[in-house]
Amino acid sequence: MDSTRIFSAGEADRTQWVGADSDPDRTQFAPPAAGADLDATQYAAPPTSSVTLQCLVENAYAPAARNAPAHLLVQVQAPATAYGRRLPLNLCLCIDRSGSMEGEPLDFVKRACAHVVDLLDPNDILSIVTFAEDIEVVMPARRVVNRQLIKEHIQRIDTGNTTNLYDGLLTAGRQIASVQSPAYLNRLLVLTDGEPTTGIRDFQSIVGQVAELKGRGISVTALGFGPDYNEELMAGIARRSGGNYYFIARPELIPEVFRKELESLLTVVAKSLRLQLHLTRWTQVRQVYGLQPSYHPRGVTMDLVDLERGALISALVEVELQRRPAGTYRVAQAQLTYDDLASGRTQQVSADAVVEFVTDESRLLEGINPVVQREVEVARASRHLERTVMGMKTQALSSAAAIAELERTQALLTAQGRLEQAQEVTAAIHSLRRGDSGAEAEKTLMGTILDLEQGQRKA
Amino acid sequence: MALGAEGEALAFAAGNRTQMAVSSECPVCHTSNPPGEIYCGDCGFLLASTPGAVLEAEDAQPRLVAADGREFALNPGRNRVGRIDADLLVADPSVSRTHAAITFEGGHCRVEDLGSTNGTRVNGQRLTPNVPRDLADGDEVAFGAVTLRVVLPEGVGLEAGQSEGESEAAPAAAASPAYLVAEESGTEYPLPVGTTTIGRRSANTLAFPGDPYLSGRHAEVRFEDMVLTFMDLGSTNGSFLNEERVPPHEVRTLSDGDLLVLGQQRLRVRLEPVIEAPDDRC
Repeated sequence: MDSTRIFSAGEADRTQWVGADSDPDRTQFAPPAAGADLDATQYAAPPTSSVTLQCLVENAYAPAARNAPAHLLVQVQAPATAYGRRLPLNLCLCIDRSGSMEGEPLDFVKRACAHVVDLLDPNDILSIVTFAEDIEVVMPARRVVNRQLIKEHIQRIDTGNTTNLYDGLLTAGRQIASVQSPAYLNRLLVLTDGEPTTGIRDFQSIVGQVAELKGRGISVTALGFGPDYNEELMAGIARRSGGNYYFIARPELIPEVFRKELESLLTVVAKSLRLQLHLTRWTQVRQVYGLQPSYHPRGVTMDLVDLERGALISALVEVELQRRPAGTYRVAQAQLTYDDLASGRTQQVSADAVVEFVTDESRLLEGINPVVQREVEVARASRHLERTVMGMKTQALSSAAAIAELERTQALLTAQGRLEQAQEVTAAIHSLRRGDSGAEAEKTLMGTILDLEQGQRKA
Repeated sequence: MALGAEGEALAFAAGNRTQMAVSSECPVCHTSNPPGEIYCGDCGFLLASTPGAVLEAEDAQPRLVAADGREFALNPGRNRVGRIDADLLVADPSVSRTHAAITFEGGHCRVEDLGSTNGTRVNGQRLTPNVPRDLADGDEVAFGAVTLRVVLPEGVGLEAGQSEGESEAAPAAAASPAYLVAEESGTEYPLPVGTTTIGRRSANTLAFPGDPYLSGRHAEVRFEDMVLTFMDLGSTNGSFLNEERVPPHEVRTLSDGDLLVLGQQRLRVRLEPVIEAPDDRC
């Protein structure tokens, strides 16, 4: 009956924000359209950002008689419109002022920092740390009130000699932590143009420190400038902390990249996204694409990047579905917890992956989900790209062979509608054709791989 | 007829009506579920439906269990163990891409290291690459730094060497009549129908990661319509068929007894005459 259906849809909506004990089965209902559900329950509800979750299966059918692998695609969709005001930022700019930054690069960095100051408002907190052989706190974590004074401090930044990235990150992290509160969206922006040369320099220690920052709710966005920085380290920093990575080829692009990063931060609607996939009996995880999962006896947990307004985050997991008596089963349940920035609360949504196990295997052809298949193709393209970049680095691939591989990846990404990434691959092909040693192409492609792994498609 | 409304409701609760205020037992795994549940909390079965034919033994599935409780199911036949594109995916940096293989057939279970970097251990004992070893229930197998416990159903692996469980259908791959046999060790590499790539990199079907004279992708062997062909893929040190160099990308037909020399690998071709009738007996 119609009235019953509406009532249960309302209930389903309510269970989304009540918390952990809500009935997970009911989120299968489509999210109520705005205005369509003028139920009493709607008025009682606090405002939510209505993040929606879907758990899709590669095929609606699976063989009952034998074990078979299958892909699960979890999609997190952010609302297209913002509710309430944005969460204030607690931002630290951590800038390399080693000798090589002298002149144009540092001038553009100063301009970029000043621009950031203009984009923030007095509720936001900003700190600025610079590093060479030693670390300087240009501006301790403060509200952005006196813009002119902050810009004067920025103008006084001067170059040193070497690059002490580790201590720079450490000091920057402390600045953010000094005012840490859940009421802020924390972010550390680090810009460097070279390898770390002073202090602790090894990859593991630096990325380990970033992981520790992530544990305290601080994501790090890594900005690599020029041809000489270590793109594996910078991409590793972004990957480990759920931040972004940018390759900045020329100094005049620095302000633009700062603006882009800040704009994406200003549209974040949910942070601390943690996706849990609970598996029922006879279902096992084979692999998780791109993300760094932790495994449990009956499932897997992954941290996702901050969710931007209107964006879609996809997480792809391959599972093994074991043989079982024919019938319909829930094979997995996806559960997402996140800090909703509109309501300031921790929210939870869940979704089921349901598969019918059939004895007649001819039905498998009817159940294919093209959305999941496309994501599988993209994940394969990402792996292929990773191998190509590795081949370029180790010089196992000649420039011509690398171009051929990249053209294949480019075509695949274009076919799957990943135009932004396809363009990046095209840019890398162009720079290889221009006779670039591969350094520039590799720096671009590290970002493409990271984007594909993190799985966020912007609005 | 004699049943009252209430009794009737109870009788149908498990099958039809999940809304009943009684707990429902899952018809598949017999877990008791709280009222109102749509899917069984354990196996995920849709409680309002009726399951198809129940399989004979549900726990007869051999598997490996990690310390964190993660389970890896073993399928009948050959299960490749590795970090990438394997049947049994162990995503740990200490595990090679193609690390080992576990074969489960004919009532026993065997593990074989495939020349992995960090090796395979059974109960602490390191395996010689390419030499299979029998596994028993409760054995601890370590691939690199990852240790897994073997869980085998009853009757498997107890009498290794004695082929009793013949009811277990042998996988098709084992029936291939074409092999490459390493001259020195006598190891047999079955060639399935289709293309087998040979090279140093572990992404090859037949990988010899320890041979520096072998190119990453050295050559390929194709087995189609009972014809076995060979092609060098532009390797650095070349491929030799019966002591004669095969020019790259030129296809050669192989016959029984041919000798292939690729890098340091001396491989003898073995093509068995085809016997149409499947002889499962004795």
